[in-house]
Amino acid sequence: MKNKTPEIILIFSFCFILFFGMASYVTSTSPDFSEDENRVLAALPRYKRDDVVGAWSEGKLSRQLNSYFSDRLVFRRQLVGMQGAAGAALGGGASRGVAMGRDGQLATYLFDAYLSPTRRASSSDFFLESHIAEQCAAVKRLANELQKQNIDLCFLPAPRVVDVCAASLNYPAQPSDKLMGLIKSRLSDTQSLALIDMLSPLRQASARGEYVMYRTDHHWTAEGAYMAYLEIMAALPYNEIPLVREDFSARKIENFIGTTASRACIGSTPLCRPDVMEIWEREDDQSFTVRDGNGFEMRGFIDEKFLSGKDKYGALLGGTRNYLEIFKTDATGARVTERPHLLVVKDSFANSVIPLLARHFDITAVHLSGGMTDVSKYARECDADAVLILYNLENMVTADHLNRVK
Amino acid sequence: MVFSSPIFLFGFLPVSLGLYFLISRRWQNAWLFLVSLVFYSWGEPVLCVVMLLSMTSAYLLAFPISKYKADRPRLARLCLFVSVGINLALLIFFKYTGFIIDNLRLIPALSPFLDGIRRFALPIGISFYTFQIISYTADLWRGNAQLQKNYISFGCYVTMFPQLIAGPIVKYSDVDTALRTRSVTIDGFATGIRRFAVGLAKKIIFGDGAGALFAYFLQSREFSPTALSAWGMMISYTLQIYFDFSGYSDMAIGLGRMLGFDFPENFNYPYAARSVTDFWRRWHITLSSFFREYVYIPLGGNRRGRARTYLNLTVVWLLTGLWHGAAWNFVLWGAYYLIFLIAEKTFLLKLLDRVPAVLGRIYTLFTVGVGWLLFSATSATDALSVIKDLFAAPALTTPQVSFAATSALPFLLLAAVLATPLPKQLCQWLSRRPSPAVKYAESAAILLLLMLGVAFAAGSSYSPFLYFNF
Repeated sequence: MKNKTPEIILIFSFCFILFFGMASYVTSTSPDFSEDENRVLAALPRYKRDDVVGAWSEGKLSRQLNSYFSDRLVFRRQLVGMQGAAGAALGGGASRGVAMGRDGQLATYLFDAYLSPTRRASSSDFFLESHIAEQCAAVKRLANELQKQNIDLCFLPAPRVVDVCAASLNYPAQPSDKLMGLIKSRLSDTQSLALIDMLSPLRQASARGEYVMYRTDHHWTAEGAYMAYLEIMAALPYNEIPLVREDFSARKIENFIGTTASRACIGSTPLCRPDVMEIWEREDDQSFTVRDGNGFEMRGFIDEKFLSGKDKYGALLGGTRNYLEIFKTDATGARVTERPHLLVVKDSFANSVIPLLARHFDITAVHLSGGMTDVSKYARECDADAVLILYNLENMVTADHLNRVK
Repeated sequence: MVFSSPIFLFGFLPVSLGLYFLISRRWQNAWLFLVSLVFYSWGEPVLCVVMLLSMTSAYLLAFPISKYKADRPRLARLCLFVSVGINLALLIFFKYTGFIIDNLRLIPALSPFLDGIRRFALPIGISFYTFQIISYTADLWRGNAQLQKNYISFGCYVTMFPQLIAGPIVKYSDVDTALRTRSVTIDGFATGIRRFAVGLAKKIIFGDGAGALFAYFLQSREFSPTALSAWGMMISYTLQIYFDFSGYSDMAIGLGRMLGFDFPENFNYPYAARSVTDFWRRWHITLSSFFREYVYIPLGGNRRGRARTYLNLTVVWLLTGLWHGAAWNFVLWGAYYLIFLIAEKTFLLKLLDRVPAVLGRIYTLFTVGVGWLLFSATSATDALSVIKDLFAAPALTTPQVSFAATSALPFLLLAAVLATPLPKQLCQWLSRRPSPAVKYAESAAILLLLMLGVAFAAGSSYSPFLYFNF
């Protein structure tokens, strides 16, 4: 007689997986927030008895239940990690639009490239040249407008990890060179503008093995931000002497797993080599105030509560806010005056540079995606001496905020 | 609801299967009918009415067909036409109205009259269940099936969730006996699990993976059309459609086995075919068999001379094209295969018999691949542009496309091997080993595949909301 034990084991295991999975929705208390995804997970839909039929016939109830079952799957984080690892093995060094390089270096290389106000080319590593040209034209117009007001403009298109670390990723450098080359060709003849190319120095530093871009996150490290700071200080027409590295002490924050690892689904797997986030501090940090005009205010540049969570980069200036004022106070708590005023039009890359610039300038920082487009008018109103646009190439490729500035 | 979603795997399936085996045998069809209606109405509850209407009309008209086919054949024939007519009318109304309107609009005089015509959403699976219902009516008329007096059992046949939305197209005669009496054995259930796990992995790992590659190559052409991106599109879509569709069929067959039904096979390693004729004996077998049995042979097949055979083939292949979608590129796709099949019938097959098998396979794969480019395009112009770029693109490649192709190479090679009979032959060779360890290892491998499938299902719902998006 045939031995049916293997079949019985298979059937039992299959039923166990199915019924255990089902029971876990009832018994488990999964968290409502996914730190890996930085989003609230779907909750079990609740309706009054009279509304259930309506929600069902519209398909709303089934959509909500689908989301609930997907979001609250038991061992979801581990399963997602398993998928990420399998995807990386099958993807020959790339998974979910993330290239995986030497020494655990990750870099997103597929983006939703801008095609028109209503269309994006999803998961693409191309960019629309006319869109980049339009943004450069907007920056050029702004530079000319600011020149009339005797306000200097400095533009730093911050490179992405894939642009800087191409060599360690085996990813071709030509697309990045073409993108940066296009920006330079469009803006190099603008006398009223200081264009800062950080691609070459960061790429060279990365090739030397310097830790300038995070392995698991899409931002530059403290070292990379410091290099940008030096270039900005050289580009701005002030006689301020930049601080040297030795003026700072570096606080190390271990186990930083950033957005790129999350996107690749490998944050919880051995494939991920967590970053060490450095926070460069000085004794006088507490003499600086950061506030957003909506009641948020803190002393120093670091919001410590972020450092114990996953989104450690959010500790810089308290995370992303549409508007920030950063200024220095004296021993009596009074605002120090007579410092030059810098308006920073930015995205999150600026959050690690502003704490360095704030040693020299009073800063007003506006997030470019926050809806503020009339930069020249605002610079006049806030009495800015100079304007810095610090905007990541990824946002230039995917969004259309920059071509609305004026 | 799709088989690869967590709500199916951990909500619908355990409840359906659990109660199916707990309740008495006489209630099992009713339970299957009920859960199948829930399954179908999950996404679009309102359109469930269309299916019920289609099904009920065929059920009721089957009684006079059965009763009068011997004594009053004209009346029975009329009922047959009405039944098939209602079902085809519903299919045409929901699936082809938009296509017909768009084409009539090309006549300027008709355009004003067409503006007010409303377009309806396509009921999911309508092409599949309509053909199943027609097969019942036709089989009854031809005496190949018995009248099903029980509405629940008939409803169970039409709506059975494993094959409802993506086939295989199960003829009534295939499951007639099982609807009345069936048994589930340990071997049968275990076989069902194996097929389901393999199908889940095929669909969600390889089908969806190849789909992402296809989307990338397609997208890249918007910026820079190259020869490599055109070849990438052809290869990735060829793999995507096979793994997606055959994976879903495997899951359906596996679920059927768990419930005690033997559904017909739908695929038999089509990419190992040595000719296009051979390919169509291995691809979507139940659809080909439906058209052969219910269209080609009733039209006379190849028994009425060469000209009539070609005419019959033309009807079948234009219908095959249209069945897949209401657009001209599907018609073109059907016509494309018609040309190759006629060519093979007249001289090409004899030629292929004389050349090495590998040449036949390369010819078939390339022909099928080009066919998929016609199939996947949104318009015939787009399709022709990609086909042209296979050999005469403005550029050979771009650095980005080369990187994507190189990165995808391990995945594509593995998928290509899995699309051949080699893995099955290896499993069969292993299963002949006397060692029980092989059996345990096989069960472990199946469970691993299942877990990988679940992991990919979890991953597909994973959507990081990244910092810079704020």
